[in-house]
Amino acid sequence: MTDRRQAHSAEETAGSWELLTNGELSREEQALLRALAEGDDGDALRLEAHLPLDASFRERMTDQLEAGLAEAARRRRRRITRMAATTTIFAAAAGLLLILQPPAVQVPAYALAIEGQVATTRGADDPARPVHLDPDSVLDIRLTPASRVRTALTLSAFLERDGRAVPWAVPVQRASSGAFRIQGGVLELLQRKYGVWNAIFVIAPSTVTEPPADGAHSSDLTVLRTTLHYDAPAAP
Amino acid sequence: MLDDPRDMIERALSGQRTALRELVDVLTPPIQARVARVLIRTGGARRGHVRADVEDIVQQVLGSLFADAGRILRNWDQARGLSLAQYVALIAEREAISILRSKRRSPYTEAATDSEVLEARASTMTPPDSDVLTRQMTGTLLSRLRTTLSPLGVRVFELLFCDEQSPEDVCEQLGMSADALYAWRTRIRKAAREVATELSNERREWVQL
Repeated sequence: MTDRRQAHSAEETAGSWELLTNGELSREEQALLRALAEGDDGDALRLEAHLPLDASFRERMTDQLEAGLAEAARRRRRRITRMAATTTIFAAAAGLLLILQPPAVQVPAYALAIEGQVATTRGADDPARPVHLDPDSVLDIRLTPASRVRTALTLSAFLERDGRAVPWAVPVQRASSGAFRIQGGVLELLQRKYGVWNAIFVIAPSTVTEPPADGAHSSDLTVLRTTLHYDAPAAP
Repeated sequence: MLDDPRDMIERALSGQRTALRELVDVLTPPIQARVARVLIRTGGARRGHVRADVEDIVQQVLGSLFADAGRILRNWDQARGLSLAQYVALIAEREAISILRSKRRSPYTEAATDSEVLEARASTMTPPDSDVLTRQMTGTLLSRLRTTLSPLGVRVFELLFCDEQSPEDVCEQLGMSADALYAWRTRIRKAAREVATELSNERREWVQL
C-alpha cells in the first residue's frame, strides 16, 4: 500500500472521539457527539474522557516537567561533585560511611496547585500570591511530583501563624504517581479558624512532627508554603 | 505538527520553556486519546471520575517520557516508521495498561481490579458501536440526522448542540416554551441514537457479506 493510500485509510478509520481530542472535528461534528452523549451513558463517558485537556492542564504539565528537568540537572551536578570527592584520599572512608548508612531517599520537587471555589488560584511558580477563602469555599489542593515517585512518601500539613506552627489534620489522598490531594469544604478543613494562615506542606519518607524553618534546605524532604486568607462570613 | 520534532525535543529537554510548552501541546492529544480509549475499553472509566483519571494517567505518561533525561523521547526514530504522535500513543497505551494492571482502577482509589480480569476485558471486549465511529460515519450520520429532523428540529440542533446556547436563550430566540424545547432535545437525542444504530447495523452487514 502506498503512503498516500495508508494516510487516506488512517483518516477514514480514525475514531471520531480521537479526532475530538485532537481538535480535528468541525463544530457540527462535535455537536453530533454531544447529542449522542446526552442519550447514552457510554457516549457520555467517551465525551468526558475525550474532550481536549485545556491550556491550564498543559501549563501545569509544563511547570512540572520544567521543575523535573531542573531537578535532574541538579542531581547530575551533585553526582559529578560526589564523584570528584571520591577521588580524594578520603574516598575509602567516605565509601565506608555510605555503606554503613541507609540509602537516602530522594524526594522530588513538587508543584502546588489550589483550585476550587476560591477567589484566587495559583501554581508553585508564584508562591507569594495569597488564596482567599470563605466558609462556603471548596478547597482542592494538589501536590504533584516533578518525577514519578517509586518509594512511599508521606505528606504532613501544618498551619502557621505568629511563628507558631500546629499540625493540620486534613484527609490526604495519595496517587500511584506520588501526587497528594487534599479536598473538602473549607468549614470542614479549617473549622472557624478565621484569619491569615501560612499553610505548610512537608513531603518526606515519614511523617514529620514540625515543619523545618523557612529557608532551610534538605534533599530528603520537600517543603511547600502558601498563604491562606480565611474570611469570616459577613454579619447578616 | 512540528517542523523538526527532534530539534524541538532536544530544546525542550535542555530546559527551554517555550519549546517544552510547545512539545506538551503536541504530545498531549495523542496521549489523551489513547489513555481515554484504554480506560473505556477496559471498563476502568466511571462517570464523574473519568476526567480526573485521564488527567492523572496523561500526567504520568508525560512524566515517564521525560524521565531519565528524556530517554524514551530520545529513543524515537522516525526512520522506524512511526510518527512522534503514533510513537507516544503507543507508549501511552502500554503505560495506561500497566497503571490499570497495578490494581488501581483510579489513581486516587485503592479499589482493585485483578490483572487477569483486566487483560481479559482488554482483549475480548467488543468496542461499543460509537467507539468505532469514524469521521466518514460521522459525516453520513450528520446528513441522515438533518433529513430525519424537520427544519425547526435542525435549527434547535444548531442552537443547542452546535452553538451550545442555554435553553433559556434558545426558547427566547425561537419563541418556544421550556417544555417544547425539552421535547425537541429528547427527539434530537433519540434521532441521533437511531441513525447511529442504523448505520452501525449496516456496517456490520457489510462486514458479514
